[in-house]
Amino acid sequence: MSRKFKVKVNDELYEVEVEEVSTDGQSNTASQIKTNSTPKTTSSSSTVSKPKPKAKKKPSPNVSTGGGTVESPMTGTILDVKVSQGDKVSSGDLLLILEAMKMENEVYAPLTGIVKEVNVSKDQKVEAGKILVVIE
Amino acid sequence: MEDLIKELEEKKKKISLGGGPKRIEKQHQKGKLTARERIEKLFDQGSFQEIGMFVEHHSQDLGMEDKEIPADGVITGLGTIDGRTVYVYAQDFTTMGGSLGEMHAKKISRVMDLAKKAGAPFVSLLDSGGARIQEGVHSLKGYGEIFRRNTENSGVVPQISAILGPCAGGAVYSPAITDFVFMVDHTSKMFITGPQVVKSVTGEEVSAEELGGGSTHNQVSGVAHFLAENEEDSFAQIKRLISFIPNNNLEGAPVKKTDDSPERIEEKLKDVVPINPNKAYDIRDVIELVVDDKDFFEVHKYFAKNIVIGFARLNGRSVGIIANQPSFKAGTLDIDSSDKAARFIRFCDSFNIPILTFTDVPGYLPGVDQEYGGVIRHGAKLLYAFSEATVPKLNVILRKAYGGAYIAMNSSHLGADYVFAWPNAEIAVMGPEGAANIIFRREIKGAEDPDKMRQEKIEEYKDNFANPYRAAAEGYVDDVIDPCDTRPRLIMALESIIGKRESKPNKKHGNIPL
Repeated sequence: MSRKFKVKVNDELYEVEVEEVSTDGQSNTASQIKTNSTPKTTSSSSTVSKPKPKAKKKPSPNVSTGGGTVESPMTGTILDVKVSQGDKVSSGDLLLILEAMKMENEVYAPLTGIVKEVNVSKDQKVEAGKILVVIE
Repeated sequence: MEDLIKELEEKKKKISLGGGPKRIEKQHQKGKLTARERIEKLFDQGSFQEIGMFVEHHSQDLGMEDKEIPADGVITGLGTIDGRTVYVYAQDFTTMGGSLGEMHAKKISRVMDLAKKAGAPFVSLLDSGGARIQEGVHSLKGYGEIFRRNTENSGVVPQISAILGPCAGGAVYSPAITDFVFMVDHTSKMFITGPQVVKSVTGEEVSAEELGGGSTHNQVSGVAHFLAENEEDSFAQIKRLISFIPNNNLEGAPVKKTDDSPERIEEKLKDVVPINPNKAYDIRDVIELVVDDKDFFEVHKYFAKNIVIGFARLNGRSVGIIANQPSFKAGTLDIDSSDKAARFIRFCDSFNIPILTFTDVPGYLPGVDQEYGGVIRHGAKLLYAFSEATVPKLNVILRKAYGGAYIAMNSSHLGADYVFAWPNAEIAVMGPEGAANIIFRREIKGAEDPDKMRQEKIEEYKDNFANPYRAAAEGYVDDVIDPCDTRPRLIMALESIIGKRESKPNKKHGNIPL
């Protein structure tokens, strides 16, 4: 489960999502910290966020030449995770199943490599664009 | 006379060398072919006839007075591909970087006019640094006249562009107007403003390949339709594309004889689509089992993968296929997939290529991004394009066909000529879960065991509504068919309607929601 915190650094407010990852029963307390891709520097204190559409796409899209970050194609629920950290995967291997629009969407490895991060667990709700798995 | 002929040959030889051996060498080092080599490889051997080889620029400014630019940096003419006439221009990067000046543009305009008059496909091979700055506003005029001709020729002859080097600034809009854009991985670059300008204006650091390479435009922007490994591969793909399309808007596509029987019963079709509507599968497996010789030429393969489009043949006749792809984004319609399909439908309609759809769609993709991005406006294009098309239109509903997406996907209400459904099809306003929750809200809430009641009501809805027979009872579906019979039924339908004539009220043109 991930929780959101607001952190102030040098008078700049960051929204930080902290997520506890447990792999093989081993609770990993040094948890995953993610900042928004574009940390909002809200100089004025009013932080009431209107339902903001997702931040503009980063300039470098995940083209095939890029690294192995696997993003969630849609907003949905993780039905099953088929790999864990350290696993060796080949391009086209099934990584996880995402249920969205009442469909069990299979998410495959875009390249061959080692699973560096698995950021989600079973039954977790994810938003479109969330990085699910990182392959190196 | 002998002397004169010799002189002619020498002149031609000199011009043929373009920018000279050094620059040709440089072009080869970059893994690129020269303009003339490209033309050789694209056309049937020895079929190329050049037009305007001796054209020269007449610029007097900025040191251009004495400058010789062989063929003014562009090779123009015609040749044959599989015996069919095709007009072409190929920009020569070895002469002044293939920059576009007044006469360069005039040569291009000339072959475009000829292609229109002759009713022959037009291929652009682009490799240019952009406008020839020395010629100033003359080169801008040149671009404008090409864009106008691209527009005039649109829907008259097929226009195909291959980006085989840089194509930046205003130059990108000529290929953008054409029907299909080919790019070569790591060779082609297309952008309005390059990485330096992007950096200086927005601070974003991005490489040329990431900003406008073949992968980017095939996957992310959808500007390009085809990605090739190398130039030879792109020419092979262009030839394949041309085999599926007619020469112009007054002809039909060539019919290709096949040994694949039109009566082939395909048992495998029973098992390709999972009965459970929550299970995904690759729609291309269905397409390949139905069409001639499993030969499916996919267009826009890497872009908006929730819809699959491309060319195939039924009993030798070209068809344009539009199919939902359940294995990507659940096969939903969204902004990009609507744009992708709508433009393809309009191409097919322009060039008399019948349309065949395979429907398995849960609906439009929900989300703030989609609504803010104008999914209403973009989704409308799909409805518009299907409604507008007067070519034969066939539809097979394989499984889900819900709500607005059902209407949008070539339904009989938009004018489909034949709609077939498989027995497992669910044609309804929405999926059983959603519908039961709304219609039976009170019963479910009031029940002792709401979950049990909900399941019962879902089942009830499924039995009564989530099937093809309600729609068939109204005649919205012409027949519910055994999946194995899909190919013969489609071919019979297509053959019966191939001579379709449909006249619409006279108008300049409609106003498609762009």
